[in-house]
Amino acid sequence: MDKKSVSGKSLSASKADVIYGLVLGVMASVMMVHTFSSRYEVAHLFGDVSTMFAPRLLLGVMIALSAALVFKGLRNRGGDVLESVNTPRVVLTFLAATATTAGVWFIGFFIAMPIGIFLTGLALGYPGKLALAGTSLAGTIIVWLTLGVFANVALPTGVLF
Amino acid sequence: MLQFVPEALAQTFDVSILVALAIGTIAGIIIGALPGLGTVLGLVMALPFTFVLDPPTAVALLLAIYVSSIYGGSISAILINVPGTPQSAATVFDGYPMARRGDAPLALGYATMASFAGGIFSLAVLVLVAPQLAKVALLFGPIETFALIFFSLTTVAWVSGGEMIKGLLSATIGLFLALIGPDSMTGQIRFSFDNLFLSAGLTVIPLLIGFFAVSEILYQAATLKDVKILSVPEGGFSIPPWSAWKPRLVTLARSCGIGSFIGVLPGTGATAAVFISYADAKRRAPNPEEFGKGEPSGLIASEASNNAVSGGAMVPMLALGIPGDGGTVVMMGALTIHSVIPGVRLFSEQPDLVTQIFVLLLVANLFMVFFGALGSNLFSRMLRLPVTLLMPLVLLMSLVGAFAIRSNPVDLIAVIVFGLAGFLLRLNKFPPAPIIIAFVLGEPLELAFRQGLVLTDKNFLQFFASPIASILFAISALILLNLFGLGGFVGKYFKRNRADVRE
Repeated sequence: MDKKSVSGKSLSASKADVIYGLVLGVMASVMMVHTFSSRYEVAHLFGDVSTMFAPRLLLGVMIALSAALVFKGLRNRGGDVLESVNTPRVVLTFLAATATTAGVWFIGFFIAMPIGIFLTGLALGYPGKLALAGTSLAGTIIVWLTLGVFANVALPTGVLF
Repeated sequence: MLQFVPEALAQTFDVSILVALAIGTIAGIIIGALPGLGTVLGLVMALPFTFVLDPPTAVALLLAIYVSSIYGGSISAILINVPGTPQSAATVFDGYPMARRGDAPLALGYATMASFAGGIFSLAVLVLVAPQLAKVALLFGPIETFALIFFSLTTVAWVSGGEMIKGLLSATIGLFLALIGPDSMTGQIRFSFDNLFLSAGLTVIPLLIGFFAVSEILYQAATLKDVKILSVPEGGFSIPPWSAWKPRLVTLARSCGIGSFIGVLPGTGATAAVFISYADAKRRAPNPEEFGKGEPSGLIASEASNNAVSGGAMVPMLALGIPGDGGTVVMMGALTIHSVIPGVRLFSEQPDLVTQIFVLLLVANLFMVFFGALGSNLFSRMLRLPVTLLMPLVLLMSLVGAFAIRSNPVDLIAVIVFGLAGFLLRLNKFPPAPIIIAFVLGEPLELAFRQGLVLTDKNFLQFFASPIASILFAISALILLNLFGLGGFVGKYFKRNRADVRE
C-alpha cells in the first residue's frame, strides 16, 4: 500500500477513527440538544412514547458508538494507514459533478449534461478529449431518445431555458 | 401458488418480458464484469427505464440485471485478477491462477455453471420458504416486527467483520436519516430545520444513488492508479466435464446452501457468503494446499454461494418487506413505485405476481447461462473500457434517475450531498449498505417499537413475553456481545473463516 497520497500526507487508520468518531459524536450531540428545543412537544428526557422518544434513544446509541470508535482509535495507535487519496482529482471531480448538477437545474439536461460529462471525464483524467466529447454527446442523445422520447420519462428542463 | 404457474409461464413468454430479460442479462453481465460498477449501481442506473414498464416487465429487467451482474463479476476476477463486484472477491483466489495457466475458458465454464446452480438452488429455497414465512409473518404483531427488524440490523453489523462499530454506526446514520420528516404516528415534522425539502422527508432512491453511484465516482477519482486501457486475455467458454464435477458436487451443494442461508438473513448480502463458503470449502477439501493456486473447488464455492444469495435475499424482501441486500433495496424501491408493496400482504393479495417473480427468476438464470456462454469473448473485450470513461456515464444515469422519480430538482442536490457523505464515510471503511438498509427499515422499526410500547403500557420487559421476539432478541444479543469480544464462539467461527481464506 502506498504510504503517501498525491497531496503528500497520509492518515493513519487510528487517527481517522478518532476524527470520524469525534465528528459523528458532535453531530449526534447537536441533534440530541435539538430534540429538546421548544418546537417539539415533550421536554423531558423520557417523558412519553412520543415524537422525540425514538430519536433520543437512537442519538444516544450513536453518541455511544462514536465514543467507542474514538476509544478504538486511541487504543490502536500506530496501525495501518488509509488508502492513499488523489485529493486534487477528487476535488476536481466533485466540482465537475456539482457543476453538472447545477447546470442541469439551471440550464437543463440537453445543454448541461454533455458539457458536464465531458468535464467530469477530464477531471477523472481520461486522456482522449475527442473520444470523451463523442461519448458525452452520444450518451446524452441515447438517454434522451430512450428515456425522454420513447419512454416519456421526465428529464430536467432547467430554470433559465 | 401452483395454480398461477401456467399463467405466469405464458406471461413470461410475452415478447416484452423476454426482451427485458435479454437486455437485463446482457447489461447485467457487462455491469458486473466492469470493476467499479457493481450490482447496486447497475440496478440504480436501470431504474429510470422501469418507470414506464408494467410491474412484471420492470421486475424482469431488474431481476435479470441482479442475477447476471453477480455472475458477471467473475469474468474480470478470472481474466484480470480484479473482482468486477464485491461478491466475486473470492473468485480471484483460484479463478485468476487458472486463467494464468491457460485455463480461462474452463474457469469461466466453472463460474457460469456454479452460478447457475446457486441461482436455481436459491430459487427453490425462495419458492419453499417465502410463502411459509409470509404465513408466519401474518401472526406478527408490533413486538415481533420490532424484534425482527432489530435482528436484521444487527446482522448487518455482524457481516462488517472486524469493523462492527462502523457497521453499527452506518446503520444508526441510516436510521437517523429515516427519522427526518413527518413522524408516522403524530405527523409532527422532525429535524427539518425549517427546510421545505427536509419537511417532506428523504426518499430512498436519491440516497441509494448518492451513496452507491456518486460516492463510487468520487472513490474512483480518489484511488484510481492507472488510467491506461488494460491488456485483457481472451475469454472463451468451456463446460467442464462430468468427471471434474463429480468429486466437487458436495462442495457445490454446501456452497449453495451457505449462500442461500446467508441471503435469507436480512441485510447480509453476498460478500459475506462467498468468504464463508470459500473458507468452508477449503477447510473440508482433501487438498486445501491447492486452494489459491487454481483449484476449481475454490471457484465453485465462491460463484455458487454468491449467486445463491440472490434467491435467498428475496425471501425476506417478498415475505417480510425487509431487504436482503443492496440489490433488493432497489427492487423494493422499483416495486413500490409501481404500487406493489413487498411484505406479508403481497402473498395474499397478489399471489399471481409472486408466482410470476419466481418464474422470472428461473428464466433469468437460464438466460444468464445462455448469454454468459455465448458472449464470453465479447464480455471480456468490454473489460478494456476505461473506468474514467464509464464513471461520467454513471453520473449521467445517476442524475437522470434521481430526477425521474418525482421530477424534483432537489433530489439532484440530495444525490450530490449524499454522494460526498458516502465517499467520506467510505474512505474510512464505513460500509454503505447498512445505511440504505437501515433507512428503509427505520420507519417500520420506530412504528413497531412505539406501538409495542403503547400496547405494553411502556413496559419493555413485556416484549420478552413473545417467544418469537425473545428468540430474535437472544440471537441479536449474541451478535452484539460479539462486538465486545464476549460472544466467543460466533466471533471465533467468523474469524476462523477469515483466517482460512487469508492462508
